[in-house]
Amino acid sequence: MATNIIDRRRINGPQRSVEPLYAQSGAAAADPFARGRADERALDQVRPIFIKTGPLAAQPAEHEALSSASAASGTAFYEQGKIRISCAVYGPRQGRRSNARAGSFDCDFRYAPFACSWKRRSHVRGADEKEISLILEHAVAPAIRLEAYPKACIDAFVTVIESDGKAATIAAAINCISAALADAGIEMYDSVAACSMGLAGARWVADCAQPEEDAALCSMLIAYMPGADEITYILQHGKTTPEQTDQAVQTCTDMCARVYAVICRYLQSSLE
Amino acid sequence: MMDIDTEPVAADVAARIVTPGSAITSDPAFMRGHGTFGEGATIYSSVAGVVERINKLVSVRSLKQRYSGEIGDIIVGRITEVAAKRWRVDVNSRQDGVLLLSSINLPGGIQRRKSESDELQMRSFFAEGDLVFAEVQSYFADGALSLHTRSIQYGKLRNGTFVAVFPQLVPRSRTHFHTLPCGVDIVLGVNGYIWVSKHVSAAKVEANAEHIYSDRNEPISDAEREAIARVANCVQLLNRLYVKITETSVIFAYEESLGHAAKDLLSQDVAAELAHSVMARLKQQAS
Repeated sequence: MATNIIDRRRINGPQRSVEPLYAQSGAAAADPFARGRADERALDQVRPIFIKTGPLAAQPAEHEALSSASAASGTAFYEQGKIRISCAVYGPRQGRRSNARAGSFDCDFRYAPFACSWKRRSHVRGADEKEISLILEHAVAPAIRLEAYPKACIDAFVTVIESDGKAATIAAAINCISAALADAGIEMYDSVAACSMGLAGARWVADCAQPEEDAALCSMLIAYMPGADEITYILQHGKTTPEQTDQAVQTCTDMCARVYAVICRYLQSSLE
Repeated sequence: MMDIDTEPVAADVAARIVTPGSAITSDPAFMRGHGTFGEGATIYSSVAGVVERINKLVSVRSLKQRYSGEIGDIIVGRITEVAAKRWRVDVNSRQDGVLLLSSINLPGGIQRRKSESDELQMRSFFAEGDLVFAEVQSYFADGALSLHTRSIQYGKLRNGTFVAVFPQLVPRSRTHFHTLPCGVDIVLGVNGYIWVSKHVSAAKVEANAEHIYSDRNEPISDAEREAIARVANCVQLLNRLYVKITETSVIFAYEESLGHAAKDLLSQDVAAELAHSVMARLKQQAS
Protein backbone atom coordinates (compact mmCIF):
# COMPACT_ATOMS: atom_id res chain seq x y z
CA MET A 1 0.00 0.00 0.00
CA ALA A 2 2.67 2.39 1.05
CA THR A 3 4.38 2.20 -2.33
CA ASN A 4 1.41 3.85 -4.00
CA ILE A 5 1.66 6.99 -1.90
CA ILE A 6 3.96 9.41 -3.70
CA ASP A 7 5.75 12.02 -1.70
CA ARG A 8 5.32 15.10 -3.89
CA ARG A 9 7.58 17.32 -1.84
CA ARG A 10 10.71 15.36 -2.70
CA ILE A 11 12.31 14.56 -5.98
CA ASN A 12 11.68 10.88 -6.28
CA GLY A 13 14.13 8.49 -7.80
CA PRO A 14 13.10 6.12 -10.56
CA GLN A 15 11.02 3.13 -9.57
CA ARG A 16 13.39 0.66 -11.10
CA SER A 17 17.18 0.59 -10.76
CA VAL A 18 19.43 -0.37 -13.62
CA GLU A 19 23.03 -1.40 -13.87
CA PRO A 20 25.29 1.50 -14.84
CA LEU A 21 26.49 1.55 -18.40
CA TYR A 22 30.18 0.81 -18.41
CA ALA A 23 32.23 2.14 -21.26
CA GLN A 24 32.94 -0.56 -23.79
CA SER A 25 36.06 -2.39 -22.79
CA GLY A 26 38.30 -4.59 -24.87
CA ALA A 27 38.84 -4.31 -28.58
CA ALA A 28 35.73 -2.23 -29.15
CA ALA A 29 37.14 0.77 -27.24
CA ALA A 30 39.71 2.89 -28.99
CA ASP A 31 43.13 2.24 -27.56
CA PRO A 32 44.52 5.61 -26.44
CA PHE A 33 48.01 4.12 -26.21
CA ALA A 34 48.12 2.62 -29.70
CA ARG A 35 50.86 5.08 -30.59
CA GLY A 36 52.68 4.92 -27.26
CA ARG A 37 52.56 7.41 -24.43
CA ALA A 38 52.87 11.15 -24.59
CA ASP A 39 56.19 11.15 -22.74
CA GLU A 40 57.49 8.11 -24.67
CA ARG A 41 57.62 5.86 -21.65
CA ALA A 42 57.15 2.13 -21.89
CA LEU A 43 53.73 0.98 -20.67
CA ASP A 44 55.20 -0.58 -17.54
CA GLN A 45 57.60 2.23 -16.76
CA VAL A 46 57.30 4.48 -13.74
CA ARG A 47 58.16 8.16 -14.13
CA PRO A 48 61.64 9.10 -12.92
CA ILE A 49 61.87 9.37 -9.14
CA PHE A 50 63.75 11.88 -7.04
CA ILE A 51 63.96 11.52 -3.25
CA LYS A 52 65.62 13.63 -0.62
CA THR A 53 65.35 13.09 3.12
CA GLY A 54 65.78 15.77 5.72
CA PRO A 55 65.02 18.81 3.54
CA LEU A 56 62.84 20.47 6.17
CA ALA A 57 64.91 19.68 9.26
CA ALA A 58 68.48 20.29 8.19
CA GLN A 59 68.07 23.88 7.03
CA PRO A 60 70.88 25.85 8.64
CA ALA A 61 69.21 28.48 10.75
CA GLU A 62 70.97 31.77 10.17
CA HIS A 63 69.05 33.79 12.70
CA GLU A 64 66.48 31.82 14.63
CA ALA A 65 67.34 29.27 17.28
CA LEU A 66 66.20 26.17 15.46
CA SER A 67 65.97 23.40 17.98
CA SER A 68 65.92 19.84 16.77
CA ALA A 69 63.17 19.15 19.29
CA SER A 70 60.61 21.41 17.69
CA ALA A 71 61.53 20.35 14.17
CA ALA A 72 60.17 17.14 12.69
CA SER A 73 61.87 13.85 13.51
CA GLY A 74 62.07 12.90 9.88
CA THR A 75 61.22 14.58 6.61
CA ALA A 76 61.27 13.68 2.95
CA PHE A 77 60.70 15.32 -0.40
CA TYR A 78 59.60 13.12 -3.26
CA GLU A 79 59.22 13.75 -6.96
CA GLN A 80 57.83 11.41 -9.55
CA GLY A 81 57.51 13.09 -12.92
CA LYS A 82 55.52 16.21 -12.20
CA ILE A 83 54.26 15.00 -8.83
CA ARG A 84 55.91 16.79 -5.93
CA ILE A 85 55.21 15.77 -2.35
CA SER A 86 56.72 16.66 0.99
CA CYS A 87 56.21 14.73 4.19
CA ALA A 88 57.13 15.43 7.80
CA VAL A 89 57.04 12.70 10.42
CA TYR A 90 56.81 13.57 14.11
CA GLY A 91 57.38 11.09 16.88
CA PRO A 92 57.30 8.62 18.42
CA ARG A 93 56.01 11.00 21.07
CA GLN A 94 53.49 10.83 23.87
CA GLY A 95 50.04 10.44 22.36
CA ARG A 96 46.81 12.09 23.38
CA ARG A 97 44.91 8.83 23.29
CA SER A 98 47.31 6.45 24.87
CA ASN A 99 47.10 2.79 24.06
CA ALA A 100 49.21 0.77 26.47
CA ARG A 101 49.71 -2.07 23.99
CA ALA A 102 50.82 -0.39 20.80
CA GLY A 103 51.51 3.00 19.37
CA SER A 104 49.27 4.73 16.87
CA PHE A 105 50.06 6.04 13.43
CA ASP A 106 48.16 9.04 12.15
CA CYS A 107 48.37 10.65 8.80
CA ASP A 108 47.28 14.04 7.57
CA PHE A 109 47.15 14.36 3.80
CA ARG A 110 46.65 17.73 2.17
CA TYR A 111 46.74 19.20 -1.28
CA ALA A 112 48.31 22.62 -1.54
CA PRO A 113 45.72 25.08 -2.93
CA PHE A 114 47.69 25.19 -6.18
CA ALA A 115 48.41 21.45 -6.36
CA CYS A 116 45.99 20.66 -9.16
CA SER A 117 46.39 22.47 -12.43
CA TRP A 118 42.73 22.04 -13.36
CA LYS A 119 41.14 23.49 -10.25
CA ARG A 120 42.02 25.63 -7.28
CA ARG A 121 41.60 23.74 -4.06
CA SER A 122 40.16 25.25 -0.96
CA HIS A 123 42.44 25.41 2.06
CA VAL A 124 39.74 23.67 4.08
CA ARG A 125 40.31 19.93 4.20
CA GLY A 126 37.95 18.25 1.77
CA ALA A 127 36.32 14.86 2.06
CA ASP A 128 38.72 13.32 -0.43
CA GLU A 129 41.72 14.47 1.57
CA LYS A 130 40.30 12.77 4.66
CA GLU A 131 39.70 9.62 2.68
CA ILE A 132 43.23 9.62 1.28
CA SER A 133 44.60 10.20 4.80
CA LEU A 134 42.88 7.00 5.87
CA ILE A 135 44.16 5.11 2.83
CA LEU A 136 47.70 6.20 3.66
CA GLU A 137 47.32 5.18 7.31
CA HIS A 138 46.08 1.74 6.31
CA ALA A 139 48.77 1.30 3.69
CA VAL A 140 51.74 2.33 5.83
CA ALA A 141 50.78 1.28 9.38
CA PRO A 142 51.32 -2.49 8.82
CA ALA A 143 54.99 -1.81 8.11
CA ILE A 144 55.63 0.07 11.36
CA ARG A 145 56.54 -1.90 14.48
CA LEU A 146 53.83 -0.20 16.51
CA GLU A 147 54.11 -2.71 19.33
CA ALA A 148 57.62 -1.37 19.92
CA TYR A 149 56.11 2.02 20.80
CA PRO A 150 53.49 1.55 23.50
CA LYS A 151 51.59 4.73 24.47
CA ALA A 152 53.32 6.70 21.74
CA CYS A 153 51.98 8.20 18.57
CA ILE A 154 53.63 8.82 15.24
CA ASP A 155 52.19 11.53 13.00
CA ALA A 156 52.86 12.00 9.31
CA PHE A 157 51.93 15.25 7.60
CA VAL A 158 51.86 14.97 3.84
CA THR A 159 51.56 17.98 1.56
CA VAL A 160 51.06 17.61 -2.15
CA ILE A 161 52.80 20.50 -3.83
CA GLU A 162 51.91 19.35 -7.32
CA SER A 163 49.69 16.49 -8.32
CA ASP A 164 49.48 14.63 -11.62
CA GLY A 165 47.07 11.71 -11.60
CA LYS A 166 45.12 10.94 -8.45
CA ALA A 167 46.12 7.28 -7.97
CA ALA A 168 49.74 8.08 -8.84
CA THR A 169 49.73 10.89 -6.27
CA ILE A 170 48.51 8.54 -3.54
CA ALA A 171 51.19 6.02 -4.49
CA ALA A 172 53.83 8.74 -4.42
CA ALA A 173 52.59 9.87 -1.00
CA ILE A 174 53.06 6.33 0.36
CA ASN A 175 56.63 6.21 -0.98
CA CYS A 176 57.32 9.65 0.48
CA ILE A 177 56.04 8.60 3.93
CA SER A 178 58.22 5.47 3.82
CA ALA A 179 61.31 7.55 3.17
CA ALA A 180 60.40 10.04 5.92
CA LEU A 181 59.79 7.22 8.43
CA ALA A 182 63.18 5.72 7.64
CA ASP A 183 64.73 9.18 8.06
CA ALA A 184 63.06 9.52 11.46
CA GLY A 185 64.65 6.24 12.56
CA ILE A 186 61.30 4.64 13.31
CA GLU A 187 61.37 0.86 13.59
CA MET A 188 59.71 -0.85 10.66
CA TYR A 189 59.34 -4.39 9.38
CA ASP A 190 59.93 -3.19 5.86
CA SER A 191 59.58 -0.10 3.73
CA VAL A 192 56.33 0.19 1.82
CA ALA A 193 56.54 0.97 -1.86
CA ALA A 194 53.45 1.79 -3.88
CA CYS A 195 52.59 1.96 -7.52
CA SER A 196 49.46 2.70 -9.51
CA MET A 197 48.20 1.57 -12.88
CA GLY A 198 45.35 2.40 -15.21
CA LEU A 199 43.49 0.07 -17.56
CA ALA A 200 43.33 1.54 -21.03
CA GLY A 201 41.66 -0.63 -23.60
CA ALA A 202 42.83 -4.10 -22.67
CA ARG A 203 46.22 -3.05 -21.42
CA TRP A 204 47.49 -1.94 -18.06
CA VAL A 205 49.47 1.27 -18.13
CA ALA A 206 51.78 2.05 -15.23
CA ASP A 207 51.87 5.29 -13.27
CA CYS A 208 49.27 7.28 -15.21
CA ALA A 209 49.61 11.04 -15.48
CA GLN A 210 46.37 13.03 -15.28
CA PRO A 211 45.46 12.95 -19.03
CA GLU A 212 46.25 9.23 -19.14
CA GLU A 213 44.18 8.60 -16.04
CA ASP A 214 41.27 10.49 -17.62
CA ALA A 215 41.49 8.18 -20.63
CA ALA A 216 41.74 5.01 -18.52
CA LEU A 217 38.63 3.04 -17.58
CA CYS A 218 39.89 1.61 -14.33
CA SER A 219 42.66 2.34 -11.88
CA MET A 220 44.49 0.14 -9.44
CA LEU A 221 46.84 1.09 -6.62
CA ILE A 222 48.95 -1.41 -4.73
CA ALA A 223 51.11 -0.79 -1.67
CA TYR A 224 53.58 -3.60 -1.21
CA MET A 225 56.41 -4.61 1.14
CA PRO A 226 58.89 -6.35 -1.18
CA GLY A 227 61.19 -7.57 1.61
CA ALA A 228 58.36 -9.30 3.43
CA ASP A 229 56.48 -10.07 0.20
CA GLU A 230 53.21 -8.72 1.59
CA ILE A 231 50.63 -6.44 0.04
CA THR A 232 49.42 -3.84 2.53
CA TYR A 233 46.78 -2.09 0.45
CA ILE A 234 44.86 -2.52 -2.76
CA LEU A 235 42.63 0.23 -4.12
CA GLN A 236 40.66 -0.30 -7.27
CA HIS A 237 38.26 1.96 -9.12
CA GLY A 238 36.28 0.55 -12.02
CA LYS A 239 35.50 -2.88 -13.31
CA THR A 240 37.93 -5.58 -14.36
CA THR A 241 37.81 -9.28 -15.10
CA PRO A 242 39.54 -11.61 -12.62
CA GLU A 243 42.30 -12.25 -15.19
CA GLN A 244 42.93 -8.55 -15.57
CA THR A 245 43.08 -8.11 -11.79
CA ASP A 246 45.51 -10.98 -11.54
CA GLN A 247 47.72 -9.48 -14.20
CA ALA A 248 47.52 -6.05 -12.53
CA VAL A 249 48.60 -7.40 -9.14
CA GLN A 250 51.54 -9.19 -10.76
CA THR A 251 52.81 -6.20 -12.71
CA CYS A 252 52.12 -3.75 -9.90
CA THR A 253 54.11 -5.73 -7.33
CA ASP A 254 56.99 -6.01 -9.81
CA MET A 255 56.98 -2.26 -10.26
CA CYS A 256 56.72 -1.70 -6.52
CA ALA A 257 59.86 -3.81 -6.09
CA ARG A 258 61.63 -1.53 -8.56
CA VAL A 259 60.44 1.61 -6.74
CA TYR A 260 61.52 -0.01 -3.46
CA ALA A 261 64.99 -0.58 -4.85
CA VAL A 262 65.22 3.11 -5.74
CA ILE A 263 64.13 4.15 -2.22
CA CYS A 264 66.54 1.70 -0.56
CA ARG A 265 69.42 2.77 -2.75
CA TYR A 266 68.76 6.40 -1.86
CA LEU A 267 68.52 5.65 1.88
CA GLN A 268 71.78 3.72 1.80
CA SER A 269 73.62 6.44 -0.08
CA SER A 270 72.21 9.11 2.24
CA LEU A 271 73.75 7.31 5.22
CA GLU A 272 77.22 7.05 3.75
CA MET B 1 68.97 -3.59 -5.44
CA MET B 2 70.31 -4.15 -1.95
CA ASP B 3 72.21 -7.33 -1.36
CA ILE B 4 70.40 -9.77 0.86
CA ASP B 5 73.09 -12.16 1.94
CA THR B 6 71.65 -15.25 3.41
CA GLU B 7 74.93 -16.70 4.55
CA PRO B 8 77.23 -13.81 5.43
CA VAL B 9 80.57 -14.45 7.03
CA ALA B 10 80.74 -13.15 10.60
CA ALA B 11 83.31 -10.54 9.65
CA ASP B 12 81.12 -8.70 7.16
CA VAL B 13 78.00 -8.66 9.33
CA ALA B 14 79.17 -5.42 10.90
CA ALA B 15 79.73 -2.05 9.23
CA ARG B 16 77.10 -2.58 6.56
CA ILE B 17 74.44 -0.03 5.75
CA VAL B 18 70.96 -1.48 5.74
CA THR B 19 67.40 -0.28 5.16
CA PRO B 20 64.29 -1.43 7.05
CA GLY B 21 63.39 -5.00 6.26
CA SER B 22 66.74 -6.13 4.89
CA ALA B 23 68.03 -9.44 6.20
CA ILE B 24 71.24 -9.10 8.20
CA THR B 25 72.05 -12.70 8.95
CA SER B 26 70.41 -16.06 9.20
CA ASP B 27 73.10 -17.52 11.42
CA PRO B 28 71.31 -18.68 14.59
CA ALA B 29 74.45 -17.95 16.64
CA PHE B 30 73.70 -14.21 16.66
CA MET B 31 71.45 -12.40 19.14
CA ARG B 32 69.02 -9.64 18.22
CA GLY B 33 69.88 -6.16 19.49
CA HIS B 34 68.30 -2.72 19.09
CA GLY B 35 66.96 -1.83 15.66
CA THR B 36 66.40 -5.42 14.61
CA PHE B 37 63.65 -8.00 14.65
CA GLY B 38 63.68 -11.70 14.04
CA GLU B 39 61.52 -14.02 12.01
CA GLY B 40 62.48 -17.64 12.34
CA ALA B 41 66.24 -17.74 12.61
CA THR B 42 66.81 -14.73 10.37
CA ILE B 43 67.57 -11.32 11.81
CA TYR B 44 66.19 -8.34 9.89
CA SER B 45 66.93 -4.68 10.38
CA SER B 46 64.02 -2.46 11.38
CA VAL B 47 65.69 0.92 10.87
CA ALA B 48 67.93 2.46 8.23
CA GLY B 49 71.43 2.60 9.60
CA VAL B 50 74.75 0.92 10.19
CA VAL B 51 75.01 -2.67 11.42
CA GLU B 52 77.07 -3.01 14.57
CA ARG B 53 78.23 -6.23 16.12
CA ILE B 54 79.48 -6.75 19.65
CA ASN B 55 80.50 -10.39 20.04
CA LYS B 56 77.27 -12.25 19.29
CA LEU B 57 74.95 -9.25 19.58
CA VAL B 58 73.87 -7.66 16.30
CA SER B 59 72.24 -4.23 16.39
CA VAL B 60 71.50 -1.48 13.89
CA ARG B 61 72.27 2.11 14.80
CA SER B 62 70.35 4.77 12.92
CA LEU B 63 71.53 8.30 12.40
CA LYS B 64 68.61 9.81 14.26
CA GLN B 65 67.04 8.16 17.22
CA ARG B 66 64.96 9.21 20.14
CA TYR B 67 66.43 9.08 23.61
CA SER B 68 65.85 5.81 25.41
CA GLY B 69 66.50 6.20 29.10
CA GLU B 70 68.61 4.15 31.43
CA ILE B 71 68.53 4.24 35.21
CA GLY B 72 71.01 6.77 36.53
CA ASP B 73 70.95 9.02 33.45
CA ILE B 74 71.24 12.72 34.12
CA ILE B 75 68.72 14.54 32.00
CA VAL B 76 67.06 17.88 31.41
CA GLY B 77 63.31 17.87 30.87
CA ARG B 78 60.46 20.26 30.41
CA ILE B 79 57.30 20.04 32.50
CA THR B 80 54.31 19.51 30.21
CA GLU B 81 51.54 18.78 32.67
CA VAL B 82 50.77 18.91 36.37
CA ALA B 83 48.81 15.77 37.29
CA ALA B 84 47.78 14.05 40.51
CA LYS B 85 50.87 13.81 42.74
CA ARG B 86 53.11 13.93 39.70
CA TRP B 87 54.42 16.07 36.89
CA ARG B 88 54.69 14.88 33.33
CA VAL B 89 57.99 15.80 31.78
CA ASP B 90 58.96 15.97 28.13
CA VAL B 91 62.30 14.13 28.05
CA ASN B 92 62.71 13.81 24.26
CA SER B 93 61.78 10.15 24.55
CA ARG B 94 59.05 7.93 23.15
CA GLN B 95 56.74 8.88 25.96
CA ASP B 96 56.73 11.54 28.63
CA GLY B 97 58.70 10.94 31.83
CA VAL B 98 57.11 11.22 35.25
CA LEU B 99 58.38 13.18 38.23
CA LEU B 100 56.56 12.08 41.34
CA LEU B 101 55.81 14.60 44.07
CA SER B 102 57.47 12.19 46.48
CA SER B 103 60.74 12.30 44.56
CA ILE B 104 61.49 16.02 44.81
CA ASN B 105 63.25 17.99 47.52
CA LEU B 106 61.26 20.46 49.56
CA PRO B 107 62.55 24.04 49.82
CA GLY B 108 65.12 24.28 52.57
CA GLY B 109 65.82 20.55 52.40
CA ILE B 110 63.16 19.68 54.97
CA GLN B 111 62.75 15.93 55.32
CA ARG B 112 59.13 14.86 55.71
CA ARG B 113 56.36 13.02 53.92
CA LYS B 114 54.56 15.09 51.31
CA SER B 115 51.17 16.15 52.63
CA GLU B 116 47.95 17.15 50.95
CA SER B 117 48.91 20.80 51.19
CA ASP B 118 52.05 20.07 49.17
CA GLU B 119 49.81 18.45 46.57
CA LEU B 120 47.74 21.63 46.35
CA GLN B 121 50.75 23.84 45.81
CA MET B 122 52.52 21.66 43.27
CA ARG B 123 52.61 24.54 40.79
CA SER B 124 54.72 26.53 43.21
CA PHE B 125 57.43 23.88 42.80
CA PHE B 126 57.20 23.19 39.07
CA ALA B 127 54.68 24.71 36.65
CA GLU B 128 54.09 23.88 32.99
CA GLY B 129 57.02 24.96 30.82
CA ASP B 130 59.61 24.89 33.61
CA LEU B 131 62.88 23.15 32.87
CA VAL B 132 64.03 20.56 35.35
CA PHE B 133 67.41 18.95 35.89
CA ALA B 134 66.83 15.40 37.09
CA GLU B 135 68.09 11.87 37.27
CA VAL B 136 66.33 8.74 36.03
CA GLN B 137 65.31 6.77 39.11
CA SER B 138 63.45 3.80 37.66
CA TYR B 139 61.10 2.65 34.94
CA PHE B 140 57.36 2.23 35.18
CA ALA B 141 55.78 -0.97 33.93
CA ASP B 142 54.96 0.63 30.57
CA GLY B 143 58.51 1.84 30.03
CA ALA B 144 57.95 5.46 31.08
CA LEU B 145 60.82 6.99 33.01
CA SER B 146 60.45 7.92 36.66
CA LEU B 147 62.67 10.87 37.56
CA HIS B 148 63.91 12.29 40.82
CA THR B 149 65.46 15.59 41.87
CA ARG B 150 66.52 14.62 45.39
CA SER B 151 69.88 16.34 45.38
CA ILE B 152 70.86 19.96 45.87
CA GLN B 153 72.32 20.20 42.34
CA TYR B 154 69.12 18.91 40.66
CA GLY B 155 65.89 20.88 40.44
CA LYS B 156 64.61 23.88 38.56
CA LEU B 157 66.85 25.50 35.94
CA ARG B 158 67.23 29.28 35.85
CA ASN B 159 69.59 32.03 34.63
CA GLY B 160 70.27 30.62 31.20
CA THR B 161 69.23 29.30 27.84
CA PHE B 162 68.09 25.98 26.42
CA VAL B 163 69.56 24.10 23.45
CA ALA B 164 68.24 20.84 22.01
CA VAL B 165 70.66 18.52 20.19
CA PHE B 166 70.67 14.96 18.86
CA PRO B 167 70.59 12.72 21.98
CA GLN B 168 73.19 10.31 20.57
CA LEU B 169 75.76 13.12 20.51
CA VAL B 170 75.81 13.41 24.31
CA PRO B 171 77.73 10.46 25.74
CA ARG B 172 77.09 9.19 29.26
CA SER B 173 79.90 10.25 31.55
CA ARG B 174 80.75 10.62 35.21
CA THR B 175 79.54 14.22 35.47
CA HIS B 176 77.06 16.09 33.37
CA PHE B 177 77.20 19.39 35.21
CA HIS B 178 80.25 21.38 34.22
CA THR B 179 81.54 24.83 35.01
CA LEU B 180 83.43 25.99 31.96
CA PRO B 181 86.56 28.15 32.30
CA CYS B 182 84.66 31.04 30.71
CA GLY B 183 82.43 31.25 33.80
CA VAL B 184 79.40 29.52 32.35
CA ASP B 185 77.63 26.49 33.79
CA ILE B 186 76.48 23.83 31.38
CA VAL B 187 74.23 20.84 31.97
CA LEU B 188 74.65 18.18 29.30
CA GLY B 189 71.46 16.15 29.51
CA VAL B 190 71.93 12.65 28.08
CA ASN B 191 68.53 13.05 26.41
CA GLY B 192 69.90 15.77 24.16
CA TYR B 193 68.53 18.70 26.12
CA ILE B 194 71.25 21.09 27.20
CA TRP B 195 71.10 24.00 29.61
CA VAL B 196 73.64 26.80 29.45
CA SER B 197 73.52 29.23 32.34
CA LYS B 198 75.32 31.81 34.40
CA HIS B 199 77.77 30.33 36.91
CA VAL B 200 76.38 30.20 40.44
CA SER B 201 78.70 28.76 43.07
CA ALA B 202 77.61 25.66 44.98
CA ALA B 203 77.99 27.49 48.28
CA LYS B 204 75.53 30.15 47.14
CA VAL B 205 73.06 27.51 45.99
CA GLU B 206 73.19 25.85 49.38
CA ALA B 207 72.80 29.15 51.16
CA ASN B 208 69.67 29.83 49.11
CA ALA B 209 68.11 26.42 49.71
CA GLU B 210 64.82 28.16 50.54
CA HIS B 211 64.61 29.55 47.02
CA ILE B 212 65.37 26.49 44.92
CA TYR B 213 61.98 26.77 43.25
CA SER B 214 62.19 30.50 42.57
CA ASP B 215 61.23 31.66 39.09
CA ARG B 216 63.31 34.80 39.27
CA ASN B 217 66.64 35.08 37.49
CA GLU B 218 69.62 36.52 39.27
CA PRO B 219 71.04 39.69 37.77
CA ILE B 220 73.08 38.74 34.68
CA SER B 221 75.62 41.19 33.30
CA ASP B 222 76.06 41.86 29.58
CA ALA B 223 79.40 40.03 29.52
CA GLU B 224 77.83 36.97 31.14
CA ARG B 225 74.95 37.12 28.68
CA GLU B 226 77.34 37.14 25.76
CA ALA B 227 79.35 34.22 27.19
CA ILE B 228 76.12 32.22 27.61
CA ALA B 229 75.04 33.02 24.06
CA ARG B 230 78.46 32.07 22.72
CA VAL B 231 78.47 28.71 24.50
CA ALA B 232 74.88 28.03 23.37
CA ASN B 233 75.85 28.78 19.76
CA CYS B 234 78.92 26.56 20.09
CA VAL B 235 76.71 23.66 21.21
CA GLN B 236 74.29 24.35 18.36
CA LEU B 237 77.15 24.32 15.87
CA LEU B 238 78.63 21.08 17.17
CA ASN B 239 75.18 19.55 16.86
CA ARG B 240 74.72 20.74 13.31
CA LEU B 241 78.01 19.23 12.22
CA TYR B 242 77.38 16.03 14.19
CA VAL B 243 80.35 16.32 16.60
CA LYS B 244 80.16 14.63 20.02
CA ILE B 245 79.15 17.16 22.67
CA THR B 246 81.32 16.82 25.75
CA GLU B 247 82.90 19.29 28.12
CA THR B 248 86.14 19.14 26.09
CA SER B 249 84.52 19.69 22.69
CA VAL B 250 82.46 22.62 24.01
CA ILE B 251 85.56 24.23 25.54
CA PHE B 252 87.49 23.74 22.27
CA ALA B 253 84.63 25.22 20.26
CA TYR B 254 84.45 28.17 22.64
CA GLU B 255 88.17 28.85 22.39
CA GLU B 256 88.15 28.54 18.59
CA SER B 257 85.14 30.84 18.37
CA LEU B 258 86.76 33.76 20.17
CA GLY B 259 87.88 35.29 16.87
CA HIS B 260 84.27 35.75 15.76
CA ALA B 261 81.35 37.67 17.21
CA ALA B 262 78.96 35.40 19.14
CA LYS B 263 76.10 36.17 16.77
CA ASP B 264 78.08 35.12 13.67
CA LEU B 265 78.92 31.63 14.91
CA LEU B 266 76.00 29.93 13.22
CA SER B 267 76.58 31.34 9.75
CA GLN B 268 77.46 28.47 7.48
CA ASP B 269 81.11 29.14 6.67
CA VAL B 270 82.12 30.15 10.20
CA ALA B 271 80.37 27.08 11.64
CA ALA B 272 82.11 24.73 9.21
CA GLU B 273 85.51 26.32 9.85
CA LEU B 274 85.09 26.09 13.63
CA ALA B 275 83.83 22.52 13.57
CA HIS B 276 86.82 21.44 11.51
CA SER B 277 89.32 23.04 13.88
CA VAL B 278 87.47 21.49 16.86
CA MET B 279 87.58 18.06 15.24
CA ALA B 280 91.29 18.49 14.48
CA ARG B 281 91.99 19.40 18.09
CA LEU B 282 89.95 16.48 19.40
CA LYS B 283 91.85 14.11 17.14
CA GLN B 284 95.16 15.61 18.25
CA GLN B 285 94.19 15.19 21.88
CA ALA B 286 93.18 11.57 21.36
CA SER B 287 96.47 10.61 19.72
